[in-house]
Order: sequence, then C-alpha cells, then structure tokens
Amino acid sequence: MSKTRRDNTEQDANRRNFLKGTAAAAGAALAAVSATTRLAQAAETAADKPAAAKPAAEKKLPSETFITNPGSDFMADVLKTIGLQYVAINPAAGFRSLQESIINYSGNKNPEIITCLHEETATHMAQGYAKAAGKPMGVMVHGTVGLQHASMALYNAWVDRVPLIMFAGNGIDAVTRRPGVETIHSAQDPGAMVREFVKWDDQPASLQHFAESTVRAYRITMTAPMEPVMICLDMDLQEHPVHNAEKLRIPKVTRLTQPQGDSTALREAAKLLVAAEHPLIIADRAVRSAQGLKLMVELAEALGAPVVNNGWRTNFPNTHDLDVSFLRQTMLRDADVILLLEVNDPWGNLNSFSDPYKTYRSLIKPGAKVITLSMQDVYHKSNYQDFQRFMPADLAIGGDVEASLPDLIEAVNRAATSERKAAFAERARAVAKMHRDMKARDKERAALGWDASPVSTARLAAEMWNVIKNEKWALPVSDRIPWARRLWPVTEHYQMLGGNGAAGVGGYGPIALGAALANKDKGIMTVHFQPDGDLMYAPGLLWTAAHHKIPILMLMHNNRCYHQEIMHIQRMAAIHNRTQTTAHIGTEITNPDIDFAKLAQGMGVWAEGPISDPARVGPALKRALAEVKNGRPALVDVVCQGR
Amino acid sequence: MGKWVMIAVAWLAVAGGAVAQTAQSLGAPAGSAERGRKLYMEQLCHTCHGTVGQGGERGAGPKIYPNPFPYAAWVMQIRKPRQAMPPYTDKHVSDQDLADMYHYLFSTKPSPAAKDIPLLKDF
Repeated sequence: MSKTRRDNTEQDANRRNFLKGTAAAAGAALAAVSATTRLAQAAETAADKPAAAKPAAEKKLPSETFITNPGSDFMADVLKTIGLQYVAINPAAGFRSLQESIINYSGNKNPEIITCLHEETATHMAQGYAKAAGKPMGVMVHGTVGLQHASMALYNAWVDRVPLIMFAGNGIDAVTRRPGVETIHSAQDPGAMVREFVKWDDQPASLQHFAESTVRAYRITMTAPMEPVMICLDMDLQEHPVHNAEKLRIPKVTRLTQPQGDSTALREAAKLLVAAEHPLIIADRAVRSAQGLKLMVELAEALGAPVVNNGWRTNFPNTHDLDVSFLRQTMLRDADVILLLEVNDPWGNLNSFSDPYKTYRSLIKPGAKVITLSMQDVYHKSNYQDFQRFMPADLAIGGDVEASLPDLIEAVNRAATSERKAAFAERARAVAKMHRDMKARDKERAALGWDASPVSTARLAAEMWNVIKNEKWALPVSDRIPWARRLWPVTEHYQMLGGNGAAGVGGYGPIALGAALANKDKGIMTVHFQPDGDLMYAPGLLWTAAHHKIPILMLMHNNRCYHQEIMHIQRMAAIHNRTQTTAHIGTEITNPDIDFAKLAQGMGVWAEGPISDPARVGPALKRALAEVKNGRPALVDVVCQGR
Repeated sequence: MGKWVMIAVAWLAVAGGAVAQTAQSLGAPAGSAERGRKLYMEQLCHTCHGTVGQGGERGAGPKIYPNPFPYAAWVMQIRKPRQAMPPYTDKHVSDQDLADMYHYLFSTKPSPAAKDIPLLKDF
C-alpha cells in the first residue's frame, strides 16, 4: 500500500520532536532569520502535544494530526523577504497551502492577495504593476491549466521587458498527489511550456532550494533585460511540515548592478555623435526611472540632437524642444548618425514595409551610421521571433541604457569642442522649430471631425485631458489613442508606459489595472482608454477593480469591431479583386451592441454610456472622476471612430 | 509635365485659396452626396479615413477632407493606390460611385478651427 501524505506527516511529527530540543538553541543563532525562528517555535507546539496526551498504544486518526508548520509558511516568509507587496491569483489547488499561509500566517500582507477571475488577468496585472511600481509583483497560477491560461500574458510581459515572478503549482510525486484532476494538472516539467518566454525557471525540490531559487529569481528578473521568471511550487513541499527549520536560511536579497556598455565603445559612439551633422536618437524601452529620463534629456541637450520616442516608455518629455517623436521618417531622411536606444526592431525603424505588397525600402541615406545600445543583442531565444529582422549596425553596444548613459554623456561632453557646441546650439534651434511646427499641425489635425459621431479619437483624448489636467496623472497604456501622446504634456517617467508588449489582445485592461494598483499607493490617478474587443477577452477585471477598490478612470474606445482585422480583410479582398463591403463579417462586434456600462455596473463598477454625442463625453467624465477620487473604478462607454 | 505634377499644381492652387473649393471646382463630375455617403460607409472607407474624412491613427489612413486631392488624383489613388491603401477596381466601385463619394465629403459639416475649440487651447 502506498504511503499517504498523512503517513508522511506522522513521521515528520516525530522529526519535530527532535526539533523541540534544538529549536531554542537554534533560535538564538538564527535571530536574523525570522522565518526559521517562527517555524521552529511552531514545531514546538505542533502535533507532539496531542500525541503526548493519549496512550501510546492508541492509534491516532489522520484528522487528529495537525500540521502547524507547513512548508508554505516558510515560503510565505520568502515572499515577504523579497519584498512582494502583492500577489495576483486565480485560486487553485496547486498552491492552496501557500495561499492559506499568506492569508493566515502572513495576515494577507506582503504580499496581499489580489483576486483575479482569470490567470491571464492576474499576469497582465503584474505586468502593469511592474511598469508603474518599478518592482515585480507575484502571480500564483494553478498547475498546467492555470499556466496555460497565463501563458499569453507571460509572453506579452516578456516582449515588454517586464519583471514579474510567476509561481506555478505542481504535484511532482505521483504517489502523494491526488488521482484524477490533480494528477491531470501536474507536469513533469511545467516550465517547458513557457521556457521560451521566461528568463529563468526552476522547480525547487526542497524548502532551502525554494528560498535560494526565489531570491535568485528576484535578482534575475530585476536585471536588464528585465523579464518574467517562474518558480514551481511543489504541493508536497508546500503542505508537508518543516522538519529542518534550524537549517533553513533565506539568502540575503541583493540586486545585481545593471550591465553597462563597454566604455571604449561608448567613447566611440560619442565621437560619431559629436561629429555628426544630423544625429538622431530613437528610443523604445530606454527609460524606467526619473533618473533615466533626466539622463535622456542631458544626452539630447549635450548634442542638440532630436529625439524620437517610439512610446514604449516615457523616454523623453514630449514638451521638450528636441522632441520630434512623430517626425521619424522626416528625421531619418537627413540623419547621418542614428543612435538606437533599447530599440526592439531596428530594421523596422529604419525601413518602410508595405503591406500587403511586401515591398520595402530603406528610410536612411547611404552611408548613415547606425549605433545600437541595447540588451537585446545579448539576450536571445530561438523560437519566438520578437528579436525581429536582423539589422547590421556600425557600432553595436551591449548594455543597459540607463546604466550606460552617464558614461556616454561624459564622453560626448569631453569630445565636443566649443566649435561643435556652437553647431549643436544652432541645430537645437532648428529642431525646436520643427517641434513647434509638429505640435501646431497636431492641434489643427485634432480639430478635424471634432463634432463627428461616432466620436473622434482626438476628441476622446482632449475630453479626457480636460478632466485630469489638474491631477497627478498616469496613462499606463499609452499606445491605444496616440492623440494623447501627441497632445498631452508628458514630463514624468511614469506617465506613459507603452502597450502590452506582444500585441496579444486582452492585456490592455488588466495592465492598466495593475498599474493603477501601483499608482494608488503613490497617489497617482490612473486613466485608461479601453478597447472594446480587448475588454471582452477577460471582462472579469472589472470585478477585480471594484472588489479591491482600485481607482481607475476607464474611457471605452468602443468602435464595435476588431478594427485592425477589418483593415486586414479589406486588404485581402482588394488584393484578390473582390468586394470589400463584406469585411465586417467576423470582425464587427455589433448586433447586438455590447452595453459596456451595464457590464461594468453588473460587476460593481460605476459606469455611464453608451455615449455617441461628443458633447456628452465631458460631463460624463467629470462624474466618473468624482467616483475615482473616492477611491473606486469608473467606466464611461463612448462609441468612437475606428481610429 | 507628368500627370501627378499637373494634379499637384491644380491642388495647390485650390488649397492655397486661389479657387473656392467645391467638388466641381476640383474637377468632379456631377454626383449625389447622399448616395455617396451610403457608399462611403458600405465600402468601409471610414474604417481608415474616418466618417467625415478626418483620417485615422495607428496604421489607418490619412485625412482626405478638408482640402482633398483634386478629383483626378482622388480617382487615381483609389484605382491604383500608392502605399498601403487597398485598390478599388471598377468591378466593385463604378466611376459614378467615386464621384458620389467625392461629393459626400464636400457635404460634411466643416469642423471648427483649432483656435476656436476651447479644449484644444490647453495644447
């Protein structure tokens, strides 16, 4: 007959009798490691006491044996030690013991559980949280099926270069795991499913192994390129009692210094930039902190060089005279030295590609020098193609941008003669004029279709700005309505944080919500343009927002279709010389029209809509803002133009 | 002088204010704006260019009204488009359809100027 988990427990209880004698001495030696101390104390009061009260010959029932020092308590201490403030979950047996430990042993603090209605939502929330908080959030998912649900979001986070720590339940021992569902949900190698898009994963075989791997995971995920990591949670490890508390140690949590580009290469880059007549700086995910943004401004000003922020982070203030973010092709035409900072797709930035005709041409002039500074070239996996088409560079520097900028700026300042500095100043004046002209054109264009119904996206952005302009605000998902990037003054690194990474639909809402959770703690008001199709992937995020009282102002960009896909069908119909009037089939979300206000209200979120009259958007937003200022989510559904 | 150059010269003359803009002044044959609106929506022109020709973002199309191409360029761009726009052949969109849609754009309510919109004064 196979041993059961309860049988093991009785043996472990005997081991705890040994711990009873050693715990006091061990406790003094381990004063700095609260986890082991507490677990050793728990061992003293564990199952041996009831056992002592009974005659030795009487056989105990399994239900008479308590596990008061489960391994999951130690795991909870490890999570606390690495500073996890929140862990997003969709509840599941695979981590039931750790969930219970977080609730009752840790008091649901550090981390606090955020209840999600889908693993994809939980993982996307962690993605948004990390971008806004600058630190990872935990996610706990069930074995196999939970991880499968989470996997798309994990890919989004991976492409978005975001730190997060995934914990996936699993039952390794075929003898102790429950037959049936629990075994179906177990895997020999759970990490295999997501290994191509996590930076590191492990399946610890002991509690000490868990502590070391989790601390290692934290360090790996927080080192550029920041990427998700995953730790498997063996069910036995969680549920069995700790029997070696005096030996357990939680390693000290230390951060690796971010990898800096080679100084000689940075000096060479500086020489090229200083000598250039028309340098251009392009950035994707270069900035993650206020200091990073300050350094970007220093570099641009040191060179009088224009900056194109592709918008995947706030890489440059769009109020700065050197910002020409929406003039990329114009600037590339004349550029003689192009510096690409953590740009994911250098080839795509420097070439145009025509779809569906698949023709392409270079956007840069012959002889233009290309410099890349990125961690992308030092971190590759094979299967998923997010590394994009190969683009040779004249000088490719492996390094983290924020860590490398101080040396690059210093090298530029050293190399710049007074004559060059005068030329830089003249160039900066010319770029400033281009910046002002760009802004003026944007304003004129924003007026077009101002009174149209469905509501124009420019009007949507302007109405939102009108209600938040006096707030400390953030628009963490900032790629959906580019009018906000064009019009709103963006000056802080946390204000606009890009998109969902891999364009996997379903992420925008929960990413914004995760950022809102981080911003709530900082007193920053989070606003969000929510695509309709995206919301319907996992609308349960609305319930999570209401349940956890996460303040966020959601303005639906409800164009009642998968708009990109309509355009794809139009292109296919055209190239096949067939009618385009049918492109709405399979792409529109109408008949019936989804009532997003009712959907939100049904999950406890204040909501209004649908609104088609542009004049009604502003007043509805003001009412919604009042709700958000009271610490609750609100949603306004606006029927909008396609784009 | 190439056809595109002649079209550009004509367009600049109109856009520069030398000639008041109407569909006819830009070379369009007679047409029905009402029918054109129906066609513009059915043919899904609005998905890229907006319901009043204001244009779209993120890979959608540019604005096509106000200051549209002269009619000859409009036809040329629809039949044999440059860049990513899908072509509309006469198998599916007749010459009269093109004229009607052109007239539709001229029938749309003009947008206010940016300087007259209070919400845009912040920017």
